[in-house]
Amino acid sequence: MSATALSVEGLRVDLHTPGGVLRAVDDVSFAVRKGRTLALLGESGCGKSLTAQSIVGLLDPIAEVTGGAVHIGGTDVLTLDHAGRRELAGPVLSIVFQDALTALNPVQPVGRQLAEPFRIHKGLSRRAAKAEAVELMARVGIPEPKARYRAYPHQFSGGMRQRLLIAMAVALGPDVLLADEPTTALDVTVQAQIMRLLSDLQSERDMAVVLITHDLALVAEQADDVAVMYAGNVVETGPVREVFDHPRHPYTKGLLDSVPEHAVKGAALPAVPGSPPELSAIPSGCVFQARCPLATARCADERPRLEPSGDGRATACHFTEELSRA
Amino acid sequence: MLEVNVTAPPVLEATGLRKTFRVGRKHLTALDGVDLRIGRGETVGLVGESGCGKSTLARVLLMLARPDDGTVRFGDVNPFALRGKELLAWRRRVQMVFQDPYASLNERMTAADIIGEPWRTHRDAAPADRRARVRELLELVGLRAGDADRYPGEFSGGQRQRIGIARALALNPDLIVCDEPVSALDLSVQAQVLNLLAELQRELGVSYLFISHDLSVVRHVADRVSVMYLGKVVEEGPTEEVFDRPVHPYTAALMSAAPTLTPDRGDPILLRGEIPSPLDPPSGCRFRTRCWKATDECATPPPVVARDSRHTGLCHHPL
Repeated sequence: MSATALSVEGLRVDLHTPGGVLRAVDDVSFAVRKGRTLALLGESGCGKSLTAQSIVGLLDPIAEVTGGAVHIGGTDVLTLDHAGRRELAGPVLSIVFQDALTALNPVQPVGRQLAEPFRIHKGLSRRAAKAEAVELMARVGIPEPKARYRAYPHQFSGGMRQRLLIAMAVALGPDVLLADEPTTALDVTVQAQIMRLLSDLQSERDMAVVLITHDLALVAEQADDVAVMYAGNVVETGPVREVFDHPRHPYTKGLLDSVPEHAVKGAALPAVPGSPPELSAIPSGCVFQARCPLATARCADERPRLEPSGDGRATACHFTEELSRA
Repeated sequence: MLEVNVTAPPVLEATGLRKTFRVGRKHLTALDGVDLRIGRGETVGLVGESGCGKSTLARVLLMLARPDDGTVRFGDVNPFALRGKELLAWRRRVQMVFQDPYASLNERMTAADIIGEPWRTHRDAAPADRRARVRELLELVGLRAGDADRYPGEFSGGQRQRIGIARALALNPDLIVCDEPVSALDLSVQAQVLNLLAELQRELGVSYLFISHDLSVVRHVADRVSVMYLGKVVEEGPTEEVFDRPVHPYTAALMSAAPTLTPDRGDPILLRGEIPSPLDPPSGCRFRTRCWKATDECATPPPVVARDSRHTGLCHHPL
């Protein structure tokens, strides 16, 4: 078994809003090994992006990490100051954002943006950095990289911009790459190209990848392991194939059942009733109780903890045993 | 599900639709000879990537844009030949459900005002007792009659989309254009809205043009499907047949690229490049610059290939 590249333990993030302090990420834990992909799966507002932003240190000022640890290679990155963070950003840890147009600087040629990490972290000369950047552009599939070096972000298509962003993220060979909905804005044929590029780069460089997404099918195709999040909590983790074939949390099961792919054509889909709770109205017991077909009085009183079951999986549910026997 | 009688007169029949826009000195052909037929109580899925002309087609069917060429017929009437009051009376036969239930509802209007707003334009279609009809519509879409005086901000995303659907139903349309109606909703809520749309179709016999990029959703809801690429319908037919035995390489590539929950298939088809600019589309077959089967012949207009009388594609080298 390869070494753990990233481990998150008991992460808590609070949001300071005019209406008071809201807990958006509550006791989130997961780990990713070298060369493996973990998907952080959840709906909008479940805390998956805040988790990613906490790891890379790019939280919005209203958000604050109030507990937990994030270990990368023996260091708890949450304890680092700004300078310490900067040293990690690029060579150790990097992130690919969803919206490549806002993530790139619109008034600087893309080549210069790509060359920047080589200048800053490796202290290369302008010429050497340019050579590295052009090579990288070619590697991620930008046609005519030499000529395109001087082009601006708006002169590229959405897919090409995402390739540039990926190039920047992998430039210094990070150990851990976070990808926050990297293909959500793209068409499906382009998404397939981008995901292929990401997995090729991952195996070349033995990176640990955290894929943040709401797309169940993308998780099934791309990830080795999955952490399912709901209302700020990880409710279930484990190898994707096992979790998807035999979910042990009612939320995971409800999500998978409601996907049309499994349904008889034209028949009503087994929908999960209700909708996810507002952050201001997260119940004190189990976060899923209001929508759960199994909920009892115990679920209202006591929040189930994410309990490992000894087979590489863990579930936060009072009825895990019943579900795993089903 | 409703059995669709193919010989029954269609609710809508569009033939040879062309629509071009001027962009600077160039012309952008958004629709290049598009045919579409939607039967009563039928759901037609429309799939394709950005820039393929899906939205322009929807706008033409909603009579928000006039085609440069081609005809649209509702029953035996060409609404584009009508003016004034008569045109208004035809417009109400096609309504729309929008993608984003946050952007498409006015925050300052109550649910009742939003649902009843179409009656302010279509005065002669307004029911005698508007409040009662609003309550009925609310219950029809799975909300409570008592929700009438609440504001959009008090509803969740799924509930907001239900309000948008109630508004589309207010004028008793024959056809509802659903433009990505669930893609902005939380995953666990999408199935609820898809179920609602299916129930309404069973109860009211309304037809849907269902625009979506999610092929598993289209496969579930659509009776027939049209696949668009750069302004042309490259393949159309009964959903199962198109999905299981595609004629056009683009359809096959689209299916192959879409991730699935059971990814134990062989090597996926990875297309080269991206969709070309509609300002400068390739000659002949529009797909030839990305197609692995393309030959010199493909620079000439592709022939219609019929797998059977209902399932056709435009290709020199059908699969």
